[in-house]
Amino acid sequence: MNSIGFRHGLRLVFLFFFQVLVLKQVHLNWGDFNYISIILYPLWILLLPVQTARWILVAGGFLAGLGVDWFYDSPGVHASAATFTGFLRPFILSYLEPRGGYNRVPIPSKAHLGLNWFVTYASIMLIGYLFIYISMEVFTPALLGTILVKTLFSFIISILMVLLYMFIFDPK
Amino acid sequence: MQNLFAFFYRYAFVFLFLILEFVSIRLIVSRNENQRTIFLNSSNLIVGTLYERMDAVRKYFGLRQDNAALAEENSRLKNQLANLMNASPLITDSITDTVYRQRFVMHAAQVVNNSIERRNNVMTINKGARDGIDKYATVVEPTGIVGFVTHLGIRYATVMSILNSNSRVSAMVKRTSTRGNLVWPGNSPLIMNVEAIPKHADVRVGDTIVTSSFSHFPAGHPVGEITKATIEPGENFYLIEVRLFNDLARTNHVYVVNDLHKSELDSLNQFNTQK
Repeated sequence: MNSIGFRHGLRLVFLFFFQVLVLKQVHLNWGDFNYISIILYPLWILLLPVQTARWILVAGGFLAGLGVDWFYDSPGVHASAATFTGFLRPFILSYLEPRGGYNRVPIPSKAHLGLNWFVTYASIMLIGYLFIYISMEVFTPALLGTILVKTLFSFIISILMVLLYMFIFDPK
Repeated sequence: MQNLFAFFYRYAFVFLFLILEFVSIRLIVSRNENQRTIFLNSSNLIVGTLYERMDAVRKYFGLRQDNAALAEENSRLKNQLANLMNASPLITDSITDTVYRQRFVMHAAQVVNNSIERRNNVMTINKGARDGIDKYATVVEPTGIVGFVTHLGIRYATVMSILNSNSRVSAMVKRTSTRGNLVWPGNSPLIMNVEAIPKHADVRVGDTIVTSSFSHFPAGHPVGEITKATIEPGENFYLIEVRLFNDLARTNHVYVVNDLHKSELDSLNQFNTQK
């Protein structure tokens, strides 16, 4: 149990600092095209054990988001999106439940459930995260078009980052 | 009763979710109003204090000129005050407009950080929100105009100098009231250009340029003197060079001018541009 907790803690620390120290500095914009934010750290919420209590997902998402906000100088924006992601996770997991259930699956990762399953799962979660995050950042429904375009482009880059991470740290 | 507890236990995560989302949105909203300026202020406070310490040393060398300039201004203001006392018993530190309603409120401030060598020059003054400075207040000195307040700290404010590519001031030829835009071409800190004065206007070398009533500066505040006024062949507008009355490299004591009519004027202008 302890070593599992240690692994998840280590993953959180790595993803957190990679997000705020590296990905925050990457600006993918050309001229007027300024639609991409690369978001990787919610992967931590995605990879928590299947049996994690729901309130831990919600509270953990909130705290991780708040920490990222501290570096992004955007109080509440990441926190609300990460809280939502934590809240969303159990519903998506039960929706995507494989035939045999999650009985022998410790964490919902590519290695345990296959690439197809993981891409579906990660895509839904990431789009959920990015949509809330960008909506909260823009904070006006009048710019729904902008929100959707930003969500789409950020999603394309972010899901590639997620898959890259999975292929490096979770091979097989 | 047991069912009730079971219910709360089962759905505790939903309540937790709602509470945390509420907290997040409260944070976002308060950020939109003032969170950003709070962050900005705290850093400004450190930076501003540092600049002020360093500037105190430099100021010693300019004390003689400063004293002379301030004494001169004092005498001029006292003359005005004497005139005012005859006209009305009301003594104010403000410029009154033609219907004698107060429009501008001035706060004395000192420049603690300044630059003139960049294309976009910015200065810091030692008055901020705590001292009643408005955002986008204008900054003048007795001999000329200085800039606009752009960021407001608690004790300090950042001023966009008129020596900045983003600065445009509506100015006019004092003699004929022809309006144009005062911009900085970016070379000498003493020379600015006035654009958009049509060629049929009567402009002569030696005319005085003052701020116009279109600007948020007090109308009629001195700016400079025309040193060159030419019309290039085929152009419809004058090419006018203005030598500023004030040397922004030496600017030290300034007045921050709050425009009490600004919000009303802005909302009207906004209404105009929204077709």
